[in-house]
Amino acid sequence: MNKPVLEVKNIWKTYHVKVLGGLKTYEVVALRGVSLKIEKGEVLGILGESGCGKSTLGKIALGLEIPDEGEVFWFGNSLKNLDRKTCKTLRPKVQAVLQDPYSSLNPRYKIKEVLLEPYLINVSPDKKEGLSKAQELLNQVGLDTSVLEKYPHELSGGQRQRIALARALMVNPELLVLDEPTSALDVTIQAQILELMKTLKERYQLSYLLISHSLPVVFYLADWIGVIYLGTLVELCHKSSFKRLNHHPYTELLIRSYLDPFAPSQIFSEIEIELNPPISDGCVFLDRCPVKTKDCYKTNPSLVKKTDLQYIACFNI
Amino acid sequence: MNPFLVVKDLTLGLTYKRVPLVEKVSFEVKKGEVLGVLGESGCGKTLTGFSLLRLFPPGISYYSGEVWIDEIPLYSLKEKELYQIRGKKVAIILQDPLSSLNPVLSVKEQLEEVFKAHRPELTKKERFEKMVDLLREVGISDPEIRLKSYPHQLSGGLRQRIMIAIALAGDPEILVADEPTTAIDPTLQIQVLNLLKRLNRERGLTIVFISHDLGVIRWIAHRVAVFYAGEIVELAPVERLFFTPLHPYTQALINSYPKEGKFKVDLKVGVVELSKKPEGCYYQLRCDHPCDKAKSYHPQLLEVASQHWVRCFRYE
Repeated sequence: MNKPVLEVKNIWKTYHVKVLGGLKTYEVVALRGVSLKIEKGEVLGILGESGCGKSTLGKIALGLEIPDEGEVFWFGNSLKNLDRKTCKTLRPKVQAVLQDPYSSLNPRYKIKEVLLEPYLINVSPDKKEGLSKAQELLNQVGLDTSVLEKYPHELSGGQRQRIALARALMVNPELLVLDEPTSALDVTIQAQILELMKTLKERYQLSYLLISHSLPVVFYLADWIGVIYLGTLVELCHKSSFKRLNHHPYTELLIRSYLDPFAPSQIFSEIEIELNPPISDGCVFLDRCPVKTKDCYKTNPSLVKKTDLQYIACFNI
Repeated sequence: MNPFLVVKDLTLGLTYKRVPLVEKVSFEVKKGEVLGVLGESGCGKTLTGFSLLRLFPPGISYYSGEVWIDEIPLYSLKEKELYQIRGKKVAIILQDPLSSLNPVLSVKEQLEEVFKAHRPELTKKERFEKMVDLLREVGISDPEIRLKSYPHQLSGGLRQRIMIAIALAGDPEILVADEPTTAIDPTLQIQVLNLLKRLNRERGLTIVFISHDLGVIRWIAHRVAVFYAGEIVELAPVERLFFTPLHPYTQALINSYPKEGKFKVDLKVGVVELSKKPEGCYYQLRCDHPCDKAKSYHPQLLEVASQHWVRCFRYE
């Protein structure tokens, strides 16, 4: 069997934030023992609110942040003891598309240079080949080749996100980390980019780690849906059974707080959600949980397999 | 009942060159109603929101038209008379509560400012009581402690509540809400929306709610105005708009929203350049049902069914 494209095992990451000009530091635990893997051709969608650690997970998966504890594997190779040569061959295989298409493209580079730079460094120094590859990819992402001579500021948000996708594909990657790829775009443009990401995935046999806070976006693209709350992966569920299974109380909360514009009007009454975020020793979700019991105060539950298609970190589900 | 807010032929645009960005926008809002304003970025919905307070971002000027709030013509007033309108009749809450609160002033100082301006007759003690009541009303526990905090010490949801409290301090009758929940998480979003809904129900607060999020608009609005290229293209009660949209743009907008993992992609989407709007109908280049008339004539906003207004030749 093939090795999983990405595997992270028991990742912990703590940030030390300096305040008062470095006189004091306090700790922010971004990830608490997260483990997951992505098989070839799979899309894992990660849901969670801002500050829950989902972007940190993305950075760790990209190898941009080093976890305090735990290990990251790319195609079965641990990032810890990776020699230079393997690193050079593996790194292009894992690429990123970021949220804000306005700040993720160098404003002084023409689109031609934006696309060619990673190719010349990682694939081959042949400029001609690179250009034809760039042209082919621009066609794939639905842009005219005339944009090659343009600068990023001449393009709209949707066009820039297409360029970001094309740039990531220049080096023949196998895994794309998509960090909120459509949240800066309008609904109509978001639809186009989502469809494009689905087509590209099939065409180039890509795997995605999709980080988003939008339920419909994750639902559209992902095979597996992971939910992170305060740095803990509280649930991992396959899309096919998402609708009929019982969920972790936090997942339930997320589903309930999603405003469906096409819901029949009687559901549109009132949703009450209490909220006091800080956490204690026990379960991370303790303070907001409606189904807590004694056990929940003692330890943080770990992710347990419920069925082949669902893993939940909760004592009471 | 007479409409409480009347906007008639409002036109705004660039200061240095005559480029209209909001063109002949007219609508009415009744007292106690929530009007949703929907549109993509750059369609003029935020400008319209600001213009209800006669405020403009730098580089934008008023061209023509009039806004009546409770029968007071906003654009015929002197600058000084506006102080009695802003905050007292109409207030605004903005998208990002962190950048719209002053980071070096405590919550108390920022709230007090409004009371000092609009209720100078109150004593210090009365003012304090009013502030505590107000924070309680917007759902903040321990208001006495929160009054002493600074914006950075508060969470996103709390900051947005503080913003709402500041807006409500002058006891306004209309609240302009410009994407107040885009910067916060879905679970908090519901809370802020519920709060606005409650204020609308209990205080009879009239709300103009600007957003690009279909779900949010569906949740809060009674009627919806859809903006495209600086003008209203469709205006209808919320359920009518979501289930029987008439204008091709509204249809594209609604069809492109992922439903059950499916949606229809509008291939002709492009950014409308407001300085290079086509002659005739502004939507003609993206339209699924292009007609000859649209090439040279500009359609009018007409009432095609009860309460349902559309700007499209197909329904004339």
